[in-house]
Amino acid sequence: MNDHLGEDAELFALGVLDDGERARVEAHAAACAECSRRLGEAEAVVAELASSHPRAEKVTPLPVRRRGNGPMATAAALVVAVGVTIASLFQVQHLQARLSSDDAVLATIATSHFNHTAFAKTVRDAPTAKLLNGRHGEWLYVIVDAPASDLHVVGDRSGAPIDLGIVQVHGKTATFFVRDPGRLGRVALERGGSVIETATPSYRDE
Amino acid sequence: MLASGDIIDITSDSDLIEGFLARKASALETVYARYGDLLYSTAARVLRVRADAEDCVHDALLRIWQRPDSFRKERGSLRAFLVVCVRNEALSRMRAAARHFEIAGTIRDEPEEIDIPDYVELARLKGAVKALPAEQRQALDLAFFRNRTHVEIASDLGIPLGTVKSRLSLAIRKLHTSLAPQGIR
Repeated sequence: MNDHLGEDAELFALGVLDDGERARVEAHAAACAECSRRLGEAEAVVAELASSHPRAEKVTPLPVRRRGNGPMATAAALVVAVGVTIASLFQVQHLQARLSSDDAVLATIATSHFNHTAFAKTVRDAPTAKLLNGRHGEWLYVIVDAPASDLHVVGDRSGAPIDLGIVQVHGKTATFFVRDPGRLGRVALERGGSVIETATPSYRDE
Repeated sequence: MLASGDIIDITSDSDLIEGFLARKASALETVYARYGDLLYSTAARVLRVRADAEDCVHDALLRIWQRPDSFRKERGSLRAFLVVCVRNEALSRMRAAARHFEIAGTIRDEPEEIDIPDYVELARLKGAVKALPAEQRQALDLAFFRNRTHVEIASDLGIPLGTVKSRLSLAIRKLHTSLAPQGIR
């Protein structure tokens, strides 16, 4: 095969190529044993770097799926794995789709520095949610990965809870946006007057 | 030879590769159990957000699982292949986010250090990296430890893109030459 990968093998392994260049490398390697070998050598070096580079933070291991004792157990494990993956994928797509569709909010977010954090659930059935906030408290945005119409966003300002408003449902997600909420100590999502998840805004310049 | 539906006790890398190529559920389980921590930490180091790293690993593994032809035995190490796949996925997400939200400033710290950072722990790896010419170490530092693209590195250093490519390629090939005799996974 002509036009072997050459240096692109090492560049691919290092992750410096753009998506288009990367796709070309993958397509070529799938059909070329010689380049697959060169690519594999480069990947081995990068994997060594990755595995010897200490973790910047304590990480939670992925859930280890117990080995099944039969076909049903294994099939169930696969269903769980694929289900979790698809759920994650849908979650991201929903969040991104919602974010993209709200031009006014996006314009605010895109033109300012912000921090973001995930809500920590205090009850098991709380939906996945994320909090984005301007670094100087100039705006706050909550996005919930569920069509939850009954969630109140409550901010803690100097120890006093302030009901900032209720989320709005948009298809499969719900969002809340408020300008000038100030610097809040904590933000809670409440359902029926009970806190179901919380997040602490960061106002650091990162 | 594996038959569809078999439940096998996968222990060796070659068995794992065979099982993975045959899309065995047990192979996917073993990949998670054996490499999950490494893949997750690889993604987390780039994305810095736990939930994003988990999404990244799950999505990358599912895509690979659905396209087993993307890995050929000639490539060698399934572990290394997976690490690079997950890292590339994480880098794509990080760069897309930077483009959309203009937060690239958080990753644009100008590199002043030429020495390889101290966080490369393994002595032999550190030694091999330190043995590289300074300009190759610098390019490697920007590419691997600071997640820069080849185009960005060329801009950072004010040198032609072709020069960046050559330095990075040479650095990786020299590292492989140095490390391979002592064993590389």
